[in-house]
Amino acid sequence: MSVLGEPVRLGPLVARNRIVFPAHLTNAAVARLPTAQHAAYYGARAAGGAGLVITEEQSVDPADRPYEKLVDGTDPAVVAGYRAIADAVHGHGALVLAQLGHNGGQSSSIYSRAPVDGADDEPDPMFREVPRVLSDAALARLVDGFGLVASHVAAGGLDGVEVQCSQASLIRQLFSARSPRAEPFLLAVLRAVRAAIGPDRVLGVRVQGDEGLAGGLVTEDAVRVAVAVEPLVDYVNTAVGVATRTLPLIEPPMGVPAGYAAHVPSAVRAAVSVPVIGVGRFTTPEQATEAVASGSCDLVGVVRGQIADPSFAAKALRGERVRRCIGCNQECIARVGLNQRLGCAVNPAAGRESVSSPPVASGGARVLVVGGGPAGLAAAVAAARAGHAVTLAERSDVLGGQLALASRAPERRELANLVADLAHEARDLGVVVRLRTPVGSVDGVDAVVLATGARPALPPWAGGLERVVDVTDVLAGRVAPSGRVLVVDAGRGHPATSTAELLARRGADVAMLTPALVAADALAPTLDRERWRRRAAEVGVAEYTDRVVLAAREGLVVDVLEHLTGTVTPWPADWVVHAGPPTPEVPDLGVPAVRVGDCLAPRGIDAAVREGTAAGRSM
Amino acid sequence: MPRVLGEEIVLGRRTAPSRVLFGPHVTHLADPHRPRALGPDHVAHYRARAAGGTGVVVTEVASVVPEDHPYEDAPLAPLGGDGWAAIADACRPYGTVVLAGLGHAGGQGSSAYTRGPLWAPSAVPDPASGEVPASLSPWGISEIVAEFASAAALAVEAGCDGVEIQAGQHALLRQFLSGLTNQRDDVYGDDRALLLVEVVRAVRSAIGSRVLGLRLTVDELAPWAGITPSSARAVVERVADLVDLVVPVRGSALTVGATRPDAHTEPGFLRDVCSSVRVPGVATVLAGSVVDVPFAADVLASGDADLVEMTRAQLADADLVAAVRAGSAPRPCVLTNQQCRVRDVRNPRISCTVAAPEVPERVVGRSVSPVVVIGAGPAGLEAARTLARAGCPVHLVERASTVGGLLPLVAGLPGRERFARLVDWYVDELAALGVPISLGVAAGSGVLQRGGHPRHEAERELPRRRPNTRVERQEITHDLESGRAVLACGGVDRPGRGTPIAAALRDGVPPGPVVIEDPVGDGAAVALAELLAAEGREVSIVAPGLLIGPGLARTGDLVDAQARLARAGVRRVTESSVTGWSDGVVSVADVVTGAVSSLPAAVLVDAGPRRAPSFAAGPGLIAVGDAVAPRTVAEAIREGRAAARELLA
Repeated sequence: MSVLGEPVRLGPLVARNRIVFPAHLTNAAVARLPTAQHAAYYGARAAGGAGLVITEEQSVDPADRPYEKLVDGTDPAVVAGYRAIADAVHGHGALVLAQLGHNGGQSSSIYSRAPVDGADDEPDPMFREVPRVLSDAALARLVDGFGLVASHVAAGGLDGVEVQCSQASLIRQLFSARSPRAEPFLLAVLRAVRAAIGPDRVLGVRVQGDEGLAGGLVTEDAVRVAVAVEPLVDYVNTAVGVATRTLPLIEPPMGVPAGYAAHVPSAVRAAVSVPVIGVGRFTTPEQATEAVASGSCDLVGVVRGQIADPSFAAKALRGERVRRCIGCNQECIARVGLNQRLGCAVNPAAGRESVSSPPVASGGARVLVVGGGPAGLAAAVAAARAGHAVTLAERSDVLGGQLALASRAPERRELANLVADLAHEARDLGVVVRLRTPVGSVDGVDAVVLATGARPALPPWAGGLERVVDVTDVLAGRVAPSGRVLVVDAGRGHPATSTAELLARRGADVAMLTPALVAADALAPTLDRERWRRRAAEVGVAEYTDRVVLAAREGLVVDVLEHLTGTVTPWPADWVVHAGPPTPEVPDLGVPAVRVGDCLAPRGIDAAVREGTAAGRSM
Repeated sequence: MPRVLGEEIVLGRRTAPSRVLFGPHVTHLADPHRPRALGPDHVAHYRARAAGGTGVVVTEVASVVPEDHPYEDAPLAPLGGDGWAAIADACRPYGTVVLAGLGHAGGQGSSAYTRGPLWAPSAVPDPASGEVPASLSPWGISEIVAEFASAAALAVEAGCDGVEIQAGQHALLRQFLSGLTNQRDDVYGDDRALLLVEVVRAVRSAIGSRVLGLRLTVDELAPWAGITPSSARAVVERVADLVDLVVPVRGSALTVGATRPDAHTEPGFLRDVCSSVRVPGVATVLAGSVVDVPFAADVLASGDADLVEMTRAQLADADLVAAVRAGSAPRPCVLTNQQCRVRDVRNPRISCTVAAPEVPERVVGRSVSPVVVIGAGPAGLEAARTLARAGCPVHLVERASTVGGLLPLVAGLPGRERFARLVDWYVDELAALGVPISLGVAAGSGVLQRGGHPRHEAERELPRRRPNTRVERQEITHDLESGRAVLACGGVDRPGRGTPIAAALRDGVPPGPVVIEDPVGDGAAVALAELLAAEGREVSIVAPGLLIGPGLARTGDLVDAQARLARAGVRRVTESSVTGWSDGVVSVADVVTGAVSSLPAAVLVDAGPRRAPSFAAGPGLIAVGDAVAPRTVAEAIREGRAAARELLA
């Protein structure tokens, strides 16, 4: 049996296995209270086998509100919500703790209409507000706040508390500012929480092990804090990154290897005798097992892996495949950052656990899915799961559609994992896959799902010039631009940046043009942008903003308009590579068909998987 | 002449009590448990304006179909009945004409909440979201026409006097009217106004003789394909028999900021266009930064429009019409958009920079012991006014020789000139209330020690800001131990390597190239750069974020600001921080890649935040505004008001 399956004692209680669903924002709160969605969401991961669930942060101060849907744990009305969460998780045999925290200066006044309270008066770079410096008396009131919320946690029947001292936290800010008030405050908080929850519940801390900032907190600081609090706590959780300054460290996108943060739990584990939780982009059972087996941690935190596949833990313990998180960050990190409820590109049910799905039609129909991209694959999987006989017809000789192409770019290989996982599920469910089959016969078919995607569309200024091509021509290997390449980003997201990087790595002299005010701005919400900029700088991609192409003529010369100033400049190039919105591909099959994904409107992976899944279920 | 605003006007079968309209706007006032309904806070919001004399209230635009969900708490017409009824009931005693705003944001909506595609005339991506919408089928179009009619029927059933159809900014109907977004090859493409005509006709038949308004984009500022005033006039003529009022607006999806711009755009900018699309028999409303009463009165008197939309002016002062009728000056809108432009995914509740409480309350007068207010910036001015209006004896002391704190400096910046009006308004109000203002009085932190019995003395003859201002040389004695004081002394500069921006604004900067380091980015650096560049100076701004002046996103000026800077030749050095300054050169490092570069700099201006002064707390001392933590005017006024309330309680 996997080491992940060994029970572990956390002070007074025992977790049934080593897999933790750590705290993370869900935006599921309404009016600052926990909801039925919280209970269903955590309950689904407990049902999926997790040993320990830690809720998202519960604030200890009503004035602390950096984002709209932060739960105010001081409101006695939270107890009913905690009770529902406890029941949902306990019903499936897992433990559940509440994370308690205060965001300090990493906060906003837009909801509270009161000054932001901070460890010092340095504005946070994300919120950009000068904080009011917390007095000693105000800190003492916050200690009481931690105690009050902990008493609500106990009253709600949760199994204990984790005190947040890392990503977004006043306690982290005090330590980071090297304030002499830091350690006494943390110890006072832990004593107050312990007094409120008593000896029969679990108390843990989450310590900061690497802020990623010059002069910031590092692993030795995490060790020092862990040693100082060890007598008071039952476990130590670890983290790297600051939520408002070095967020990509906390929630790294695809391309960052599993275990990138292992140095922190390893060092803490060497210094304390209580169990230590490690985190760090573990997306497969093998990676999670390795983290524990190698001794870097006692328990392993898997957030996105369990969002993508709620049964990650059970499958890990049984040695089965999971539907993997691909680290696209499009529906989890990016949505939450926009004040929207958490979702998942590969798991359409994530964030909607409390929404009752329409009943699945009884199986037995013959279903044809046209198109083997993510939408078609998701439709085939869902229809087969509903008991239908499914044939999937794909025009090309590979599955994956646009994803298969996109995954050829540097650092985007994990996109292919979704194709592989869906294809694997389809095969297991007996879907008949026909490659090199444009449409397939509709004879004898009861229902058709059209998932034919979209085709590249060059802009009118391309004028049929041979060396003005689409990014997909490059990714598919139909052309191999070299020399001076101008990549024109008229779309959103990765197509232009991926292609620019790919060509620069092949030795081309690449300039990337965008009409936007910021180069690669669409990569920011998914936290891909910083890494891309570093790589682009490394391989010499030059970025130009505020520019649109007006015309291209033989030579090759394009006329580039700087739209802020109205200046037009001729721009010589050997190749122009265009990335822009494609055009839906809607073949007329002569029979009614449900359109899903890009053939309805060209959008992201999430729309393809969501619509494909919904269509497959409703056949 | 201003009283023309308060005159009645006939709209269809209804008579509005004044010629001032409170237009539809995003509020985020919904009850979070019923996010798509109009809730009690909406009712209070509209009631306050009705009570203040508004002639026509148009409620927040409600989507006619659930597939349109442009922001999280966007009202949804099928859920609107209760809310519309409550708003109509609340406004009825004042005679205000209540119109339900109805719309569909089309391709300018959001797929984040429905999780389905956006629906639009054609698959043209919205410039803001980049999302490619799905093209509406003829069947989908006919459904939308029917839903406009159902929503209108529901609104009038609920007691509204009529509806206003949204074909302005963020509107599917505008997207159909425009060649920028309508590339259809069916009848709705051949005749781009067809959908609008069908909707207007269906709504008219649904509401009978009730009031039918149309908010219509008449200039997309994109003459190559967009709606132009002449094409819009043809549309107005086609629907003239069906509508009672038209509100011409401007801007396309490419120029969202142009619809309700900040003070960088001249107030009343639509006057000429508005009169050019005016047709007989349809009441025409001038919208577009109409904030000043004399201008509004002139527009009405000249016949360029029949009504004026003064939405932001009535956010600043809900009692605008009542004030005009009483011959007094309403609290001036400063057109910063900082608190009222809330179409923002974070769902901030609507507010106002100059009038913090969402629903202004009058403080009841009572006899209370005197208060000294230290500092005559916006926080102190608001505190003093609130106290004096409640009958509390108050004395305002200010260290500097002028009133307004940082506002006179700010008012010297492009786009911020209107802050001077705010200072003037406060000075007039305090004069009318008889509040003594002592200028040049050094009431620093030293006098605020516990147990002190400071004696302040005005040291010199003080300049008179306005002839009617009671600013006098006098002596003040105030016991801060047993007495009560509001500390509104503002912030202080932070020690740093450059010249603090406040000093640069006040004293100017020496000759030579200028680098402005802007770690926070709330717009002051942008404005200073514009001023210096206009003098022909070589200017660079260095900022750590993706954009220069990210705080301007709130005002709608972010994109325009980049354009002004680019045209003025200002270097925009983003994602960078200053690492050193010597020998006329500033060294800069890219915060992501670490790449190092240098900029010429005879002067380095530090546009970073100020800090609060240190002072000893006292039992009767309430610190407000920048004295607590340097922030914006909105917080200063809000806290000045709150401190006064606390002292009056």
